[in-house]
Amino acid sequence: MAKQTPPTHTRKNAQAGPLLPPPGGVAIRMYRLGLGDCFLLAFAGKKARPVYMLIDCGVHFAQQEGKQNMALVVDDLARATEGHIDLVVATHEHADHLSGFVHHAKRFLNGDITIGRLWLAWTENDHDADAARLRRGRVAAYDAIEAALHKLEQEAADSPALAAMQQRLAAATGFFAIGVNGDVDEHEQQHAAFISQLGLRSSKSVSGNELALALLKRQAEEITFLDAGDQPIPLPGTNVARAYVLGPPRDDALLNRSDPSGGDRHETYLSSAVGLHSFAAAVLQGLNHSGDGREQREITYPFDQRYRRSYEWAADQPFFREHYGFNGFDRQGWRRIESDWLRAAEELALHLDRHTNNTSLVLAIELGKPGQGPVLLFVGDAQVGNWLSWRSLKWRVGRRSLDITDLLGRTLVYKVGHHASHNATLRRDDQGSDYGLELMPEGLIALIPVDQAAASKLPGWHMPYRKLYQVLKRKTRGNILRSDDGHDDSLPSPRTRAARVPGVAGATWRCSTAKKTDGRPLFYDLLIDPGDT
Amino acid sequence: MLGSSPPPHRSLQIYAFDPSLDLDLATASVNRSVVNVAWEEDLQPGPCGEYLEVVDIDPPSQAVYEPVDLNHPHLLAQQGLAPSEGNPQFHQQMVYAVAMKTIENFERALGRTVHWSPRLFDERMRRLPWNDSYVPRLRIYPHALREANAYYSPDKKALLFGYFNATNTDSRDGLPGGIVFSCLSHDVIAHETTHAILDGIHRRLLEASNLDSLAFHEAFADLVAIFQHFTLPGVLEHQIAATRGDLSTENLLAKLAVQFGRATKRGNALRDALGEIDPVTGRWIPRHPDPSKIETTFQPHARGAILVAAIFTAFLTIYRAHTADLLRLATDGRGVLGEGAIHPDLVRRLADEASKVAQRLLTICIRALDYLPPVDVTYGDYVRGLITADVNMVHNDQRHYRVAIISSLRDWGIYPRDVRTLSVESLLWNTPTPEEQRLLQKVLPPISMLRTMADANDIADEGWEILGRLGCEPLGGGQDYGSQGRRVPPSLEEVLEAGERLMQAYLHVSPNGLSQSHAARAATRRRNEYLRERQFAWYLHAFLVAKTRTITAHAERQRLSDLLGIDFYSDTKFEVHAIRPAVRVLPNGRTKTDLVVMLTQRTIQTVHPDDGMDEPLHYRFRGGATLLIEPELGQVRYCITKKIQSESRRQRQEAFLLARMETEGPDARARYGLWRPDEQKVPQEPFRLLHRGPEWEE
Repeated sequence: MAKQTPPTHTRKNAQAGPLLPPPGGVAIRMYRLGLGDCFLLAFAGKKARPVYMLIDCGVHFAQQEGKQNMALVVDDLARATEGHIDLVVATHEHADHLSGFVHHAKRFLNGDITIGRLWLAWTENDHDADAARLRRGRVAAYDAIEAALHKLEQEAADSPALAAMQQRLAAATGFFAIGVNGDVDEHEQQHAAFISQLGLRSSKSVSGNELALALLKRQAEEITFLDAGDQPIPLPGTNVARAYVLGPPRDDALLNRSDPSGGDRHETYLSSAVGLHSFAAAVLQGLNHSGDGREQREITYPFDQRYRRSYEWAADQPFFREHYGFNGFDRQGWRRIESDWLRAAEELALHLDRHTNNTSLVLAIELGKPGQGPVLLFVGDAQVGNWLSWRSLKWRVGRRSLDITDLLGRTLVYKVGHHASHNATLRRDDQGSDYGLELMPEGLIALIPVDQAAASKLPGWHMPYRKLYQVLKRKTRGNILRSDDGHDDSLPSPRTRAARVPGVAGATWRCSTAKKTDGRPLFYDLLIDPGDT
Repeated sequence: MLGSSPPPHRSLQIYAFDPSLDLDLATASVNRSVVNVAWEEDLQPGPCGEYLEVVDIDPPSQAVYEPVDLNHPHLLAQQGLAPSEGNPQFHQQMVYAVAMKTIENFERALGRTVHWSPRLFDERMRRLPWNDSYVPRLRIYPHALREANAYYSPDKKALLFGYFNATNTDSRDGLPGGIVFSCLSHDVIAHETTHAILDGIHRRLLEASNLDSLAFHEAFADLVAIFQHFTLPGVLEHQIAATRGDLSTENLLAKLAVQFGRATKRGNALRDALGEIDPVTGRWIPRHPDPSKIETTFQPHARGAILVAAIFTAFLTIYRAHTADLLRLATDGRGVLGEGAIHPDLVRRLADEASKVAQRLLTICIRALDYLPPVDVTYGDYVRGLITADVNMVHNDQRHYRVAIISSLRDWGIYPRDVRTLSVESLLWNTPTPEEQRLLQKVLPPISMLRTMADANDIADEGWEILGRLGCEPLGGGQDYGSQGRRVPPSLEEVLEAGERLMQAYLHVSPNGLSQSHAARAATRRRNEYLRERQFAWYLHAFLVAKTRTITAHAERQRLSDLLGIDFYSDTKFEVHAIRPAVRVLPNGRTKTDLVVMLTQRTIQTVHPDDGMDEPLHYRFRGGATLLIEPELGQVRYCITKKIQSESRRQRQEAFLLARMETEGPDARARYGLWRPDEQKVPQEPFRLLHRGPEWEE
């Protein structure tokens, strides 16, 4: 046994040095990036040094001061882990969970921060057939959206409706693209450098998220791809915790399921999969991919070549000049349909966004005695299908058989999914029985990475969703940590001195002395000592 | 050519249903049909005629297809192009033919010209001058989208049809991955055209102010598509033979968009008025009336399907009653058919009856549109409109259409909540009492003017030009003095004087006009009608404003507000939404023209929905009345009112909006016309119908 160091987590200058857990417990550092997830967990190690686990590191492009604060976060990460993260978890391919790895890739590449193990969902495994299939679809869809966005930019000036659509699309795309809205230039050179350094196919179409994952895969000493239902995995280097893998599911139907049964598409004209497939094909056709064979492209046209005429041809025809017009300001402008078909891009973006959310790696980290201790639930941005899939999982611990009801019933800390949106925390299952949050016990602690002000500026973003928030407040008795300020005065706010979490045995919290650019605390620490509960 | 007159019809080939039935041996023989559409002398390539312009631009494929010239001798000689999926010119021909047929059905039922909804705002939501707002032709884009979708765009006054690669994997449902064109489906074309026509008749029907609003639009469009199946003779006889005359069993006539449904993995038509495929057994099962379903079905298409099923059941009841004698004749009085096929003569006679009943029901359904309140229409209102309209056309219900309709709708839970019984008498809209009649006549224009309004379209094609010379310019097209030029409404004297000029103009046929060619007159006919309507609307509005000011007694004025559904106390503007002639048949068989006048008013209300966001939202609350006026007597026959002062109705609308927002979440704001006070409004595409459900609620 290694020599026991005195409990340093109560030290006065605790925050200047490494993040230290209570003996036998865990310290959770929630970085307050706003719309973006970054959690550092320090577990009491088998050796003197704690075991550091980083779950995600990203911020949404729409977050004000997001990049500046991310720099502060990465500095603190290096300090708090003494430059080595034992385990990195990247939940899913969205910029607000990964952007830090790209924008500060240098810190990883030059050895400032080293990575021990890397845990990823099976969906990120290049050698997994299911994953490869999903990836192909995602790449095609993403390319299509990007192309649609590009076309929209040309038309948007003439039409407020299109401008609004473009804005919505850009917002949606911001989720998967690191580098939309100006980020590109700043990092373009780095970007190119990484691409060659990481041995990726040299192409502009490598997304920031791909880059982040490639970086992590390259830097990690060991990579594990996790499947839901795997037997509980001991966290490396510590006896105090183990992880249950809840998601993502393998089932396509569940992965596609972001809507509950109430979202009735049956009677509508548009069934998403259908429209989107043809749509993507059409946009990509316009891209003139050099790789595609001429013949292959020819068959995607609705009519034989001899019926097709070009726009240039039509522009000379009196009929089309009179009835359609091609000039931006002529009398026919209001009836032209050049970009109406691109409205499908919005649906595609939303579909892709929700699908990607559903590929979130979901971990239930159990502290204390196996099968009995408190649970930290990190759900990434899992949506309905992912949540529902957990019901079929069973684990054996000793003689006991555990299921999701048991794990949810022991949840002490819940990282609220998807910035507490209306569609990423379940309370009932599809049979109408209580599920999800309703099965979690009273007195849990909720962590919400959200910035209400930033979210309200994004079209269609309503976070935190009030009804969910009300239930969370009741369940937590107000013990909620948010990464924004000033929206809810009724929350108890941790001070820089560690204090007991009101009403929760074995839990203390504090806020950082380090400040964000706006002078608010950079992070909250939540310390859990299961022996004390 | 001396002595030859233009042909009454142009015959054009179409797919009776859609291309998929061509590949089925059982249906291939009847799937190619010929329809007769109105002869347009001046039809241009496109086709581009008086009502429609087909423009075949395909932005998703960056391609353009040459417009078909249906007046080309080769096409004239062989009923247009032969049906073909691979020839875009045939697609143009088919959308034109089916849309024209749909228009014709409306014109015949309503006894007047179809007008498209005016273009009131430009792309930046600025109001257009009244005489620039006329939209002569509905635009049709047969290949506008690359998705399994088709819709009517109220902003572009256009139908956009999509095409897509089928996603079915079972080749029995069509070529997997093959291209499906929505513009080759008779049902999709008829459905979308109906949306456009309905929008031209009732602009406010697009606003969801109660559960039935959007559902009604969908149901109506489906009904028109279904009943039009019965006008295709080959198809009808084929299906009568196939079902041995029993149209309540599974048949193509009751199905909508078969290929579309199959290609999108539904394994069946998009919708079916009679039944559905059992998801477990995969077999077709008939649907039975369930009056409680209407209470729990909120999704517009599903709720619309209930109305469709109810009307279709009424059709079956009437059809059965009308053919019972034929069956008895054919079976020596037993009335029960033996095994095997039925006699071709019987098939023909049954088809005759089915076609007659279908045409009659379609006419009843369409005619009811003139008997609806101008805003906030419910299924119950439609039931009353159906009955009232029919009573005004056919005095003796010898064949029991009305009874069949009422009982079938009742079986599906569709009936008005504000009547004492479900008898024909109590379902009729109320007639004003003598006292109310006197009050209304105080504010309505003189009989001479009302007659001019009702008959102007028939007697004066050139009135509009004459009017210009007389210097009678409308202000704001019948509403809105504040923002359009004049600050103060004209005085009663000014209004009366303008009215005199209007009447002179229309009662006086210009010799100039008579010299115009038939084609030239046709080209300006609908535009003149539109401009005349706006002009009459202006006049009536000014007249009402001036007249109501003379009514000073509080009780009388309030009574008038109640009758017309408009608040004459507040400064809120009101609008003369429409002035249209409507044909009626007298008991002695002679026809007569009534005047349909719609008045509307709106207020902006604020609501605090429980949609998870703590934001107040605005919505529009509308009121008004539809008046059916007998011009010869200056009497109001029916006054169908939705009071703007009705607090209970406002609360109902608010409760509806709150419930929808609570169920569907913040994404649904645009769908229900709610907006943040600081929000800039941008045009939406209401018919794209993106149904996204709420997650948290489940």
